[in-house]
Amino acid sequence: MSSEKVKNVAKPVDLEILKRDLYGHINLSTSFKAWMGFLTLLLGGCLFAYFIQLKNGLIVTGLRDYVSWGMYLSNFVFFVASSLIGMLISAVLGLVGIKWITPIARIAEIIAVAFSAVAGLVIVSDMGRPDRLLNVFIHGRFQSPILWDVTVITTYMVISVLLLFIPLIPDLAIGKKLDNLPKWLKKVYSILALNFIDSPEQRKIIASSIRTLLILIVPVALSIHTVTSWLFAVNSRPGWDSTIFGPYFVSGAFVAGSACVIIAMYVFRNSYKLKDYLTDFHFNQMGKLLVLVALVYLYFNINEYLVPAYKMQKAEAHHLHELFAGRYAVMFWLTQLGGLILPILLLLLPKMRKPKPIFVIALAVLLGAWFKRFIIVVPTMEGPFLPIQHVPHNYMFYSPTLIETAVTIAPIVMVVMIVSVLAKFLPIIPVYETAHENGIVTK
Amino acid sequence: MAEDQNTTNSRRSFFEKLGLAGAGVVAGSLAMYEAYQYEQIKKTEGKKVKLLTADGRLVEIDEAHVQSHTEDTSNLQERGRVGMEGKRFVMVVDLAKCRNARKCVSSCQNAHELRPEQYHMNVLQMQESPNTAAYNMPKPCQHCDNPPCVSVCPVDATFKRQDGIVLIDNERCIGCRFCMAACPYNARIFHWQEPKNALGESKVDERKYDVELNVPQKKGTISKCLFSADRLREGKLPYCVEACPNGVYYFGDEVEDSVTNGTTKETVRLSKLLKDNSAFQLMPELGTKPRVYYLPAKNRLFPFEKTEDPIEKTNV
Amino acid sequence: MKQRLLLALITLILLDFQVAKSQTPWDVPPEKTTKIASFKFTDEVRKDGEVIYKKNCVSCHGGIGVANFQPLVPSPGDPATEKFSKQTDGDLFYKITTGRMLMPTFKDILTEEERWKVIAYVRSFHKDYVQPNPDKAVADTTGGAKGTKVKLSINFNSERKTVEVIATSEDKGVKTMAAGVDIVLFVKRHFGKLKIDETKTTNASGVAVFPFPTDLPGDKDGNVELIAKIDNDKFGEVFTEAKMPIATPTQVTSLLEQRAMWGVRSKAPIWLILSYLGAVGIVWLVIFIIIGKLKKLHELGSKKTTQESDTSIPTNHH
Repeated sequence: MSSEKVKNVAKPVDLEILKRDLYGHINLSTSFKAWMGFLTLLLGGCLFAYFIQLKNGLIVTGLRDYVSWGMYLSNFVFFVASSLIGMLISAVLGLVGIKWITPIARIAEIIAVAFSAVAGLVIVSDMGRPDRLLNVFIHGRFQSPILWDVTVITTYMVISVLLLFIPLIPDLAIGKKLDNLPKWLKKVYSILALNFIDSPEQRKIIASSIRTLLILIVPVALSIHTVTSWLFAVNSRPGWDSTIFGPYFVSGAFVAGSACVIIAMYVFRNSYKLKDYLTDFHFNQMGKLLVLVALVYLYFNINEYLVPAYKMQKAEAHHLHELFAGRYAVMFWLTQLGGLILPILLLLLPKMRKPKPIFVIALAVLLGAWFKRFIIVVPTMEGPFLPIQHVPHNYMFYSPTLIETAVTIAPIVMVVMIVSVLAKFLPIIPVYETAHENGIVTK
Repeated sequence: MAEDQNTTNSRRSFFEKLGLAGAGVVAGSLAMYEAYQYEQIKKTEGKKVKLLTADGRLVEIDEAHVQSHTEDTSNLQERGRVGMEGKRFVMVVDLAKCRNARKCVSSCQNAHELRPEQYHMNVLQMQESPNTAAYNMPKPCQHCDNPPCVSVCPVDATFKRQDGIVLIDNERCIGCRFCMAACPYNARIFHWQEPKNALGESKVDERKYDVELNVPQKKGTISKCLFSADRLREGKLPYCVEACPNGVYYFGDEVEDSVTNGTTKETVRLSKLLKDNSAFQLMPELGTKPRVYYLPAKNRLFPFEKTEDPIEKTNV
Repeated sequence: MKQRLLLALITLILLDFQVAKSQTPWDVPPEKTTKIASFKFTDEVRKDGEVIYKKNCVSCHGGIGVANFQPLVPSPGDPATEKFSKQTDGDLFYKITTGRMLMPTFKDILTEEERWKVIAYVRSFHKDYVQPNPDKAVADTTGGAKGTKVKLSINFNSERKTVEVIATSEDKGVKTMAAGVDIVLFVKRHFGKLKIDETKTTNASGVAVFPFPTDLPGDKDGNVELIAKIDNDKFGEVFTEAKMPIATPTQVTSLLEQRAMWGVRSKAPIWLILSYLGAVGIVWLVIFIIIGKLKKLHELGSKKTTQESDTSIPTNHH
């Protein structure tokens, strides 16, 4: 897939230029402080909403006895989906030997770490008794998909942290000697650099550790989104009772994650002035990747909707009607057309794979991905097998409340904060690797 | 040579570290287990207890006057989880007799301190297709022998007993609501807010939690039909079965092959009742193996009335 | 004009017919009509009757005098109306005892005394009612004079697989076999009494024979608890109980013995436990090994002095 010459940098550089370019953004600027301040305030407001939920119970949401899973769960699925991109970029593409992912890999891992770490908090915010969280570990049943989910997500997060950290070690070793970094950060770098002196034995440890983890993470990552899909697929309900939910969710995860990475690439390229490293070529390649995964996802979508539509079993017929022409028609068609089909068509054109257009398209894809998860979770619960009778009107249909929306935004803010902090205080583009791939001496 | 020494050293240090990590895990989990055990042993404090009488009144009496067989919480938990030996309870619902009187609904809501929009037992107006007869169908929890709700519970808060009854332990439930998603009969409800008889923040409900009655209910936990497990030990029929004025419910033990009608108190052979009336079950193709049987709505002595429930116009 | 009138007349007659048909008369046997209560209807009796009425009767008959009874066919009616007040005490007692269609048989639900109490309460709404003198309550003389003691005993005939209930009457110390006594046989079940066959009358030797079902489950030894009762109001509540191993023994294996997806943690399918623990074990072992290697990397850096490293080797991390 890649050409003979590695086009990781736009023009030839030496180590000094590399250091200046790739560590140049690491400082506590006012704009960063303002940005974090804004995010902290926003998070504070959202956490206040969660406090109200703790006090009054989940009645403050739009959830009731029939639609008992709603926006919190669809948000959770979205989080798990987005975290999968780390595996796709680093492991799948990396193990296959794709070279152009080098500058992108760390961004992907940062996204993976942030989303998988916060995903657990999303689920806790949905729990009726979060004070009893420990029960899952003390009384956990092997037969419950929730236990499997907790296990695999924790495992994936730990592996992603290691895959973020280990390739970072040489960069920290380089960075700890730089003058323009804040003193406290250099101290942190020193500790975390683990005495890396670029010796052959150390290089071997790093190389073999990374290789092992990349192989390990593939089944683990496939598991997290397959098991998450099973939270729905193990239930006899129209819309969820599908045998292909696992691959359906995994392929959808790659779409969402790719869009996330493209957005992050664009933001950092502009704010950290990395045009020489995150080049048009990289955006072009990511665009092609997005088309590929989106086509696979489209294939699964067709299977998921065409086959039940052919049979029109009673409950499925009602469900499909709500999606195609009923209560959720607008959301459904907007996400499918605007979030999947149109991006595929546009991204087939090379002009659309330039940084700015692809950034806008990626935003649409990500937004569509979020609403697609809503479409997967909620309409099914509004159409159970037995009729809904003798309950208040708002039990029959789901409308998220303001507090629910705030509690949903909180983990999104947290992810943005984590990514911002990690991207700000670490070199986003792997320095050591970039140097070595361009034949630059690092000692 | 140095190489060998290095590898031996690193191997040794690796195993040392592994051993240390292992010891840490053991110590940590032992500590957690101790903490858990401590939490489980609840001492009964206070001299008065609140109890619910059989006809649904809340009374406060001296603890000393309570019969000794009402055990402390841990005993209640244990016998509640184990169930009654040698019994397998079933319910038979005669659809030909149901007139949507909803006395079953109200007596159950009363006994379990539920709000009017919360149902352990609901009566639905069913009609399979446009040309088939409409009828009223009481719908309790089916206490399935292959319960999807129990399979998915992450903390063993809902469980099946040896007598066939599926219960919920509100001391353990974490409120994840997976069981609600899993139940194809929509038999479960959730306490989205403080339950109906919650005492408020400053007061403590002294009643001992009996998992067979599931009272006091708790915010953030699941609730559902229990086949009135608290009454069965005393040979009493469930609340709904007794409250029905029209003879709709039969309840009994399939081991004894006998069920008793809640209105007429007549006891009949279960196998004969099911066979003679061509009994069926709800959605058995889902593989849930329910314990509730339905007798078809044939030879009804009254016309079917479609009713509008005013609660459907409210928002809660 | 004449034709129209004729048509109207015919319609009226036909309608009358329909109404009359739906109110099928409920005839009471003549010997039951004259039955009366053997105790006085006091205020306390009426109060007790009100409690029983509210528990058992109000759901169909509604409040007395309120006319909010259920629209059933046949109609239960309001007990305050003439439909009820024109009936005798014996009529009311018979109808409550036997029941008909949607009205349950209260014979096994309420004792005789309780049934009379309900009647007392209903009568309090009938203005012209005067209670017949309770002293005149006549005990039926067939089968023995008032004061006769009748005793029952139960036997099992293992050849014929029948249960024999023997009635003996004792009059002034003399025991004789009581013939012509109606006996009903029950088997005790957890929630109630299961009737075996029909009511049987004792023959000249005082024996009533009940064929016993061969497929009735008992406990693990086949024991059942039998109750034999005299099935009329002549002798009050006369019954006897016996526990006998005459039924089919049952062995119940606990539902919880098997391994299942819905079982407790320790009863999970073996393959599931092994897969889960195995997968977690292997993956986390690898993670810990790698963390161990990082420690070694750290040590390597502190131990070694600066060494020349071969930088011409392009490290290929991917």
